[in-house]
Amino acid sequence: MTVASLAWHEAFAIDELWEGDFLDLEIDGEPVLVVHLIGGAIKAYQGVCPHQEVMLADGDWDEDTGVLVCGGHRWEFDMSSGVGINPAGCALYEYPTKVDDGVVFVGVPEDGERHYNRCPGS
Amino acid sequence: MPALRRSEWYDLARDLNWNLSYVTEDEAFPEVMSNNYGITPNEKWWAWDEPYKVSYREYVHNQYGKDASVYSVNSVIARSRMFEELDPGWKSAIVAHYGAIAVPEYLAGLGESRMGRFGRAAAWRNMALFGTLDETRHGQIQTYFPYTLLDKEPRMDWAHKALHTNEWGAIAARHLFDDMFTANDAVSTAIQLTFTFETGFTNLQFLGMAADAMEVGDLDFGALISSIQTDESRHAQQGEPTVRILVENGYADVAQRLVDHMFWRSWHVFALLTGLSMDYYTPLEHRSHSFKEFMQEWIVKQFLDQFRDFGLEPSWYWESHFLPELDWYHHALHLGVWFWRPTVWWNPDAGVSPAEREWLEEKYPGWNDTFGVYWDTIGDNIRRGEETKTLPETFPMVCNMCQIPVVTPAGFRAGKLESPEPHIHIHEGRQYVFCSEPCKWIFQLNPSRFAGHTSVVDRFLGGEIQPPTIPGALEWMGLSPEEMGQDATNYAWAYEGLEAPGAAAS
Repeated sequence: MTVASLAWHEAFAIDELWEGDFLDLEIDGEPVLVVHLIGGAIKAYQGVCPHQEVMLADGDWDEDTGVLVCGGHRWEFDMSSGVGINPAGCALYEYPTKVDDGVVFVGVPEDGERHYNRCPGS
Repeated sequence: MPALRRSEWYDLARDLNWNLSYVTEDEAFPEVMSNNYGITPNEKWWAWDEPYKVSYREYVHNQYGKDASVYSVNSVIARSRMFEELDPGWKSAIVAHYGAIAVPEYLAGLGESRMGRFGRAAAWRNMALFGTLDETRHGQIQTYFPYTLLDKEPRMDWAHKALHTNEWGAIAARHLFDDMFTANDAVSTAIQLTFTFETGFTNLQFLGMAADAMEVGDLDFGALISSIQTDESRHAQQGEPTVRILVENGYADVAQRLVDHMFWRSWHVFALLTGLSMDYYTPLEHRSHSFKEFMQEWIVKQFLDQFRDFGLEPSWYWESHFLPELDWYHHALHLGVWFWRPTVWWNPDAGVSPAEREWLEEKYPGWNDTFGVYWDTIGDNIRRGEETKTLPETFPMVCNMCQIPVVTPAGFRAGKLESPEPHIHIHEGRQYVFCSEPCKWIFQLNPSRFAGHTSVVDRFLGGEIQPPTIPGALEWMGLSPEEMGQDATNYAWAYEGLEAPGAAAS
């Protein structure tokens, strides 16, 4: 995936999302979860669980550990990387992000695909 | 806390597999308890691995937290007037839910226990132990919550009573769940209960209904069933590794047949339980999706994706029977359940006021012409004061597989079936009646498993129900006059939009 193939979508002003908090958004028709990690990093992932597509924003979020637990079936994800903790071997699709003049942008590949990983039984 | 990460010790502690020397494999794992479908030796099953891991310590910690949370909600709400203020149709939905689900959850603990002993890998038996504890919890909590509502709704005791009666819906539930897990071997249970039923369908009842419960303001029920669903992460995953082992050993056809069999049966019971609740009992202003939309999202799309992940295909009846039934089957059942309302333990909500009919027409184009016309006549009879014309004088035919009344005439009239007639099959001199081709096909897969059962109507016609009248049958079903269903809103729907009760009488 090259940067040139991304469409950058203005998401929100960075002041609107405090460190340790997250926002669920719909960007280019796709559910996206944007996390502002403690320490300042901004990450954007698919907004639905790769297990059975339950909204991740409805899960339990621990801003200190950076772990989000899906409210549907308790799948756990490290939101600093999107990698699944339990089950292991499953990761969230990550969208590129950038902050420009205090505004957060989320990059969506212009490939006509829906951007999310599925791992129901992996 | 342990000094090692879970992944560093989990497999070692879990995989207590060993080769048998004092007994044979068949003695340790008899086919009736654990059908290996020809996959031998047993070591081939040891590759079984569940994706979501949990230790016993973590399990207890998590479950303690869940129970503390949900029982706290129940305790607080018990002191409020929340239940009294709920919509009558919604109350019917949860009275129906508790009766149909609470005791089967406890029975599912038997199926889990069987997998806990006869699962063919240590990892599987370990996970089934958690499943047994989960299902015990679900049986207990869904008996306790309605118990706390007994002073407000006496029929909440059907949470415990229903499965101990011969009420027709209870017989349908028992027949299904006996087939699925109470009287099923461990391998088939993993595929039919945990993969087909729990992974596929319970999301619909437990996540879909939880969303509706929160909309309606029933925090008690919403918190309860969403908490229950979080347990599925562990025990529902027993099906996936079992399917994988069958497929990898060249038995995809076995897995496919087990799924096809139980998918159809599950669909029919969910159409009865969830279909009516979502499209007729839930208050209109709080319906997040139609039943068909929920089915399309949770079953047609997600479950189909999962079929394909494992190399399985949509069932042979998918396009020809299943998808068409999404448009009419539960509407026909609703009509029947409402008409035979004295035979159920909840108050069916007609749900056909003018605004509701508009919604039904929008969600199911053509509904007014196909099903609305029946309700036109029923409404006319109610407004004329001829309630008796809206009550049964006899019984419908009942399917010898799903044990649900045959509604093919409504499907035919809706233009979805080529014939209004049921499917007849003769087996060893006895005539069996089926509501659909797939129900007949399931019987033919294993006639000896089903042939001895008699439906409510078989028993009625066979003289087992005395006196052979509607009141005699209702008593046989365990329904006293106070327990029999009545219209949930006392026919308010028939007068909505009219100037005054009786205004439309001619």
